[in-house]
Amino acid sequence: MNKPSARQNAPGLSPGQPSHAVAGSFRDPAGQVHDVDGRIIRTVSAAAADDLRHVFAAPAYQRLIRDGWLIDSEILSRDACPIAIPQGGMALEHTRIPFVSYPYEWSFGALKAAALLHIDLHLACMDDDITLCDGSAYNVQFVGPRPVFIDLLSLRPYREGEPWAGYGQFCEQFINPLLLYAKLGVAPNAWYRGAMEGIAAADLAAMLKMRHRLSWNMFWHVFLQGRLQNRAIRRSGGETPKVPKVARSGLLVILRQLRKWVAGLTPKSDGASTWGDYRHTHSYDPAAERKKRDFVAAAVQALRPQTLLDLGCNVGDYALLALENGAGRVIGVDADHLALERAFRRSQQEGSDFLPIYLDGANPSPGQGWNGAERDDFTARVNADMSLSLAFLHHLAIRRNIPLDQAVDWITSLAPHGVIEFVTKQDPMISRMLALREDIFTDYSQEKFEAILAEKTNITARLEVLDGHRILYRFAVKI
Amino acid sequence: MKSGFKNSPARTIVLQIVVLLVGLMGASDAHAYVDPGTASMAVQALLAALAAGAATAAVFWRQVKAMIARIFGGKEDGKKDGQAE
Repeated sequence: MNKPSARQNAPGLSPGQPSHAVAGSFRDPAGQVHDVDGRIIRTVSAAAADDLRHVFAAPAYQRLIRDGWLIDSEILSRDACPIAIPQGGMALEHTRIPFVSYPYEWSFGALKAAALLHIDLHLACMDDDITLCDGSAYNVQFVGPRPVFIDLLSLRPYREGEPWAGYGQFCEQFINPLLLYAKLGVAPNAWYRGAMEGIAAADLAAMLKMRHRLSWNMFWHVFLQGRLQNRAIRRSGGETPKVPKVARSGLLVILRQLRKWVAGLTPKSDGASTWGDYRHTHSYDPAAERKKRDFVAAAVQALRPQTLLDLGCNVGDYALLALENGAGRVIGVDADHLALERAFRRSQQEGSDFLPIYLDGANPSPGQGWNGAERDDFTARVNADMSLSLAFLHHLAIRRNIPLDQAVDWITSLAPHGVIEFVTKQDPMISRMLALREDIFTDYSQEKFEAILAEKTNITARLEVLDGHRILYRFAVKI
Repeated sequence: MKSGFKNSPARTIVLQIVVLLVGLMGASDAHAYVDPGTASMAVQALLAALAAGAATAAVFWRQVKAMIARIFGGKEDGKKDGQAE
């Protein structure tokens, strides 16, 4: 079923050691997540196990799993658990998320869907006296375009009068990045990736306009919160803080108000094109496009990949084509936020197993966080059986000056099979790219490309389209 | 129809003035906070208190209206203008 796991190539993991503690799960002493031969196992400390039993007993628990809001878990007996269970604690096996993505890779639509899930889950839990102890966006993962809450240990019994400890974190990791999109038209991904904990309220407040202060929600959640946080930092060293009381009814009102607010957020229009009307441009005429689609469809049908990686997925035309032709799921990457937003919405509407994420091929998400290993780098997470790189290579090789052999190396390292499109310099797309700069790309030719590809892979099919300006290759990486 | 005041900028401005006045009078216990996390909790506590205040006011208002309706013998119609959440 699985080819040798790409995870085994993750930094700090030797290929002979497939079982390991998942680095991102160390922060919560209540438990630890382990990846044991592809199984996701969570050990729970004795102290947290009591709370968890309370959660399991709540009527909402089964419903949340049935509705796909919460990751499914099975309690493991000592015999069935491949790793040691803490004294008095327990072990759970979770359904594996096929591809782990991080909030700094999400489109606006994905971040919004994740935020709504977080609030809805919290509200549903509160009916049964369960609360969420944090507000981390990293606790939400995606299966296709559907968000799932994965951190069972964030759920614990609600204590009357306690504030939501995760409120500030929720604002930093969900609300503030969404506001950057919605109020300023700025995609937060690069900033978010650098500041993994999210966007601080005071930083956002400094960028917002005067008129935004008149918004009820922004006044409280951004301006006032940012101001008080800054004040708190300046005054550090004073008395020990007291935890304020927050009535249950008040907490519920805050959650409902947040939900209503988030549900109404839309990306700020850039004037000329609205997000909904976004259309992609390309050089294809309908006949040539049909030939290209047939070529890709045949390749997917022949391989029926469990996971297909679509590099430069644009609005998802070829991702959806691949799903129609037997791909199990598609992970799409693109650096165009408008295209990603459109792709995510299409995937949501069609209920397909297609997750488009933000990624710049010339600067993919690195391993980062504590010890450089808390969040895995993109190539360690993607475990694809097949890649599609249609009109993608020249963005690396020409727009970003990545040497052709290195670009081909990278693409062919991501999956053992694939379809790659080579766009020649005669194509209008490249002519436009080179119009304002010197053509320093003497190595960029079809002959050179074919030689590089043939060295690494067996080319099994080939198709020329648009008068030979574009050539499609189907390949299998040499073992 | 719900009161237009509820989501209006006017309400925001009135409440912002209230918060500012409270701040100026030194009644805010923000002085005690040493950690940004507690600042977030303070915002929550303030919002929750406002929500509770609004709910109490709504209940009180409904009772007043019901009383007036009884005194003047009109039909009780507490829901029509209700501010209930």
